[in-house]
Amino acid sequence: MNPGALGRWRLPAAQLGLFAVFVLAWKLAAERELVEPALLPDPWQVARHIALLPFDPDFLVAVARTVGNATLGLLFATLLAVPLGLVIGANPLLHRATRLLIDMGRSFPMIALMPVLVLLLGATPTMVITVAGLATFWPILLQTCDGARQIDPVIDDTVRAFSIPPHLRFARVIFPTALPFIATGVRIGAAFSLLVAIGTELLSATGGLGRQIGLAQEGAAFGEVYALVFYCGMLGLLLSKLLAVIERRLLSWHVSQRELAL
Amino acid sequence: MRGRSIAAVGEAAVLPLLLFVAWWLATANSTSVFFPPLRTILSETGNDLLFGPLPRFLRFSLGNLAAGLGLATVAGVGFGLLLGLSPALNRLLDPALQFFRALPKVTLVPLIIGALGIGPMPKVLAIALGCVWPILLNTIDGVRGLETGHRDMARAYRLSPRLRLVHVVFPGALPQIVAGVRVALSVGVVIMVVSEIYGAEEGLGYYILSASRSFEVAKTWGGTLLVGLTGYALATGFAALERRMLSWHHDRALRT
Repeated sequence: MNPGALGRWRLPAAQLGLFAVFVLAWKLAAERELVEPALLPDPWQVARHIALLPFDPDFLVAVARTVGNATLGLLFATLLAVPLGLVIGANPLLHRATRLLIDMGRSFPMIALMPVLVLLLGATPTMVITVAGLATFWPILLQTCDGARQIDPVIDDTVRAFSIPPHLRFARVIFPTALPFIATGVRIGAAFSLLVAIGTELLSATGGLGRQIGLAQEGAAFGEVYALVFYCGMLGLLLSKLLAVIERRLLSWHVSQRELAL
Repeated sequence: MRGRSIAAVGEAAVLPLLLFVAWWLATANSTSVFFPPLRTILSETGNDLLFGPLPRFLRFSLGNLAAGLGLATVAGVGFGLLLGLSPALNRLLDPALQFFRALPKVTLVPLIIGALGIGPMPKVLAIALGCVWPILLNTIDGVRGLETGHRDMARAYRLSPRLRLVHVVFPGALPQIVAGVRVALSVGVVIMVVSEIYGAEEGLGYYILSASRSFEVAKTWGGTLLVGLTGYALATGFAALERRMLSWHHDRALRT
C-alpha cells in the first residue's frame, strides 16, 4: 500500500475509532445508569431498533407519510411564494409596502398555528401539509424578493428601452436573476418543511414519523425513540444532499457555481 | 432624513393595518364557532394578559428560551472556536456535525421531555441542544474565514495565543457568530412552543393548547397571535441589537 492510499484511509479510520470509543463510553454509562435510563438507553437496544425498523411496515408507512406531507407543503409553498416574490421584488413600491408583513410572517413560529388548524381541519394530513406549507412559504418568499431585486440596472434599462413585454421580462430576466436566491430559499424551506411536518405529527398525533416517536415515547421504548430520531436525521441529511445536487445541476450556468473552479 | 424614515414606516404599516381592519370587519358579526370576532379574541386575550395567567406564562416561556439560548451560545462559541482553530479536529468530527445540522431539532423534544418530565429544566435542555448547532457551525465558519492578512499579522507580531484569541480570532468571527445566534433564536422559539404543547403546565404553548382543548376558540387564536407577536418582537429586537453590536463592523465595511 502506498503512502497516499494510507493517507486517504487515515481519516475514516480515526473517525471509526472515535465512534467506537464513543459507543463504548455510552455503553458503560448506560450500564451503570449514570444518566436517567430513559434519556440514555442501552446502545445495543438502539442499534437493534435501527437494524429492525426498515423491516417494520408501520415505520415505512410513517416515512412515506412524513415525506409526502413535507414535500407537498414545500411544493405548494414554492408554487405560491415564487411568483408572488418575483412580482413584489420587481416592484419597489410593493416591496416597501410588504416589508413589515413579510418580516412578521417570517418570524411567526407557524407551528403555533397547529392547535387552531386542528380545530378547523382536524388531525389530518391536510392540516400537517398546511402548517408545513405556511412555515415554508415565508423563507422562500423572502429569498425570491431579494433575488428579484438583484437585477443589474443596466439590464433593467435595456429591458425598458426595448419595451420588452412584461411576461418575457419576468420569464427571461427576473426569474433567472432570482434563481440562485430561490434555490437557497427552497433549501431553507425544505429543512423547515420536514421539521414542521414531524413536529406537527408529534403534537397532533397525526400519522407520520412524529407520531411514531410520540408512540414509542409513550410506550417507554426509549431505544426505538433514539432509532427514530436517527432516521429523522438521516432523512434531513438525504434531503439536503439531494437539493444540493439539484441546485448544482440547475444552476451550472450561474456565476455562483463557477467560483469553485477558479 | 427623519421625515423619510417615518414615511417608510408608514408605507410598511399600511398593509398590516389593512389586513387587521379586514379581519376585524369580516368577523365583526361572525357567529362561526371557528372564526370568532377579532374584538372577542383581543378582549379575551387582553383580559388574560392583564388579569390572567399570561404574564406568568410569558415569563416562563421567555425565561426558558433565554436560559437555553444562553447555554447554547456559550457552548457553541466555545467549541466552535476550538474546532475552527483545529482543522484536524474539525475534519474528525465532520460527519457528526453534518448529521446534527440536518437533524429536525423538534425530535429532541419528546426525547428529552419524555425522559426527564415536564418541568422547566428539560425544556431549557431541549432548547439548548437545538440551538447549539447553528451557533457552533457558524462559529467554525467564522473562524476559518478569517482574513489571512489578520492571521499573518498576529503571527508576525508574535501575539500570545490568548491575545490572538481575544483580539483577533473572536472579533473576526463575531459577525458570523451573531448570525448563528440569530438563526438559533428562531429555532429556539419553535422548540419553546413545541416543548410547551408537548408537555407543560405553563407557558405560551400550553396556553394555546389548553384553550383549544377546552374549545375556547377565541383564546386559541389570541394565544397564537401572541406567540407570533413574541416571535416578531424577539427577531426585531435581536436585529436592532445586532446592528448596534456590530456597528464597527458595518462601518468598516461601508468605508472600504
